[in-house]
Amino acid sequence: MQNEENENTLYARWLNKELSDQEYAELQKKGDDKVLSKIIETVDAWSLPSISENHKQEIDRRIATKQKKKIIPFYKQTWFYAAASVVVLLGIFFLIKEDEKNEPKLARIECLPGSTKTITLADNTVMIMNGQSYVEYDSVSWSTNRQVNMEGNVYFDVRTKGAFTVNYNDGKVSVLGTKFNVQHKNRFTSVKCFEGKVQVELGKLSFAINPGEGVRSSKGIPSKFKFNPVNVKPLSALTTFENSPLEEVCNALSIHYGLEFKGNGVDFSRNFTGIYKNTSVDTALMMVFEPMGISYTRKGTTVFLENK
Amino acid sequence: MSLHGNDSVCEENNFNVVYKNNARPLRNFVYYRCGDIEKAEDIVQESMISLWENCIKITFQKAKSFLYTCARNIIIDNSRHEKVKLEFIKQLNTGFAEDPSYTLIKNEFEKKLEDAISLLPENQRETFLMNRIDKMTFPEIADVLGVSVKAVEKRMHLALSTLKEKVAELNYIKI
Repeated sequence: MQNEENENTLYARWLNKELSDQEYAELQKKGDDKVLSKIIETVDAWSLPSISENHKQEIDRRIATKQKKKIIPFYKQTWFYAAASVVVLLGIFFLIKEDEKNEPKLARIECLPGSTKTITLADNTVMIMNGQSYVEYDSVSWSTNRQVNMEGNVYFDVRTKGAFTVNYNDGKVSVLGTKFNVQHKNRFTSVKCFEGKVQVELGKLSFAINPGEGVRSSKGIPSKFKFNPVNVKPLSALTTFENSPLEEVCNALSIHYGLEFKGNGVDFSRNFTGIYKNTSVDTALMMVFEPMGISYTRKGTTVFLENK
Repeated sequence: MSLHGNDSVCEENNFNVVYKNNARPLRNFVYYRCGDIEKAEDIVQESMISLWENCIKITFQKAKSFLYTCARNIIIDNSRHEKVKLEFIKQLNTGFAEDPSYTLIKNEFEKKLEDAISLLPENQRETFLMNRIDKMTFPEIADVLGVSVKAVEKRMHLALSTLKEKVAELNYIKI
């Protein structure tokens, strides 16, 4: 076995001068060493041409081209945007899906005391919120379900025809393309119609009101009233009242500035005609109560009223 | 082979050294297999670019065998069973009295040897030529071909054995 192995590599070992004396002698005897030497001597003198001159430059050039491509950051590549878009779209899709599956999620928008907020909905309906108010509506299926839950003082400008309902604690207002104002807080409700026609439901009673008409309800007792829509501008820098009971004015003030009124012997059914400022609580109080001959003291959010 | 602190082939210096050390023997190795110098040089370029693209994974020490493996794969893809006809640059006769018959016999011998080498089985042919032309040692050849040194010695023995018989009929003694 060992012999066979050696036999297999005989010439290789001859080349490396690793033959035993005996092996070498045998080789010489056959004359093989001369032939082999001649082959080696001949081939060793051969060569192959040098590598062509621009061979390495060509490699460098091709690498530089690839490198330019390689160092383009991930986020700059077009397909990154494609992938990102797909992810975002899927995200939106599933969000919407999720919304549809569950109970309709209501969008709730709140307004802080002393401020106003204007919301324009997809159908161009404008809601202007005043003071401490909130509105809730189904933002997903708004086009088919135009219902707003609210509290506080909100002016509505409904631009598109179709059912539109404003719900509040003890009633609702249904309209067909109109401008109207709803004021509701603490069981006091006042709905003023500026344009179009409004159907107001207060408890079990229902009122249809035209422009310049209003319905107010205090402690469950509703009454209709009239106002001049030119004078009574909804929700601007000034709030205007025309022959409105003091209760409604105080209610509006309490919504707007987040106040609480405590009257000592003050008659809240007296009517007030005038304006108050929407930007300064103390100026507003002065503008309402000075002409009415009522003295007031404000401690934080509580206002104590007293007849002069 | 390398004294670089950083043995990454991504380093330009290291990459250039790898090229300098290996390009020519690698080109020759590919030539022994495919018999086309131009194609061989292209394959070396491909292999070097592949090395650079994978440089993070390959250390300086591993670069050589990577190149040979890479080149081998490209040859296998390209031209498996093409018959090769190798040609070498022969040394010009220098100085000695130019005997026309001597030159004739020598040329014939060289031609015969060249043909015999071309006809050797691929693994014997490349082993023999890497050893003789590129002066690679048996362990080096074993390393780049991924075989044992013993296998290289056997291939070398077989190559020499075949070549010896092929040229034996010529009157080589006189040259």
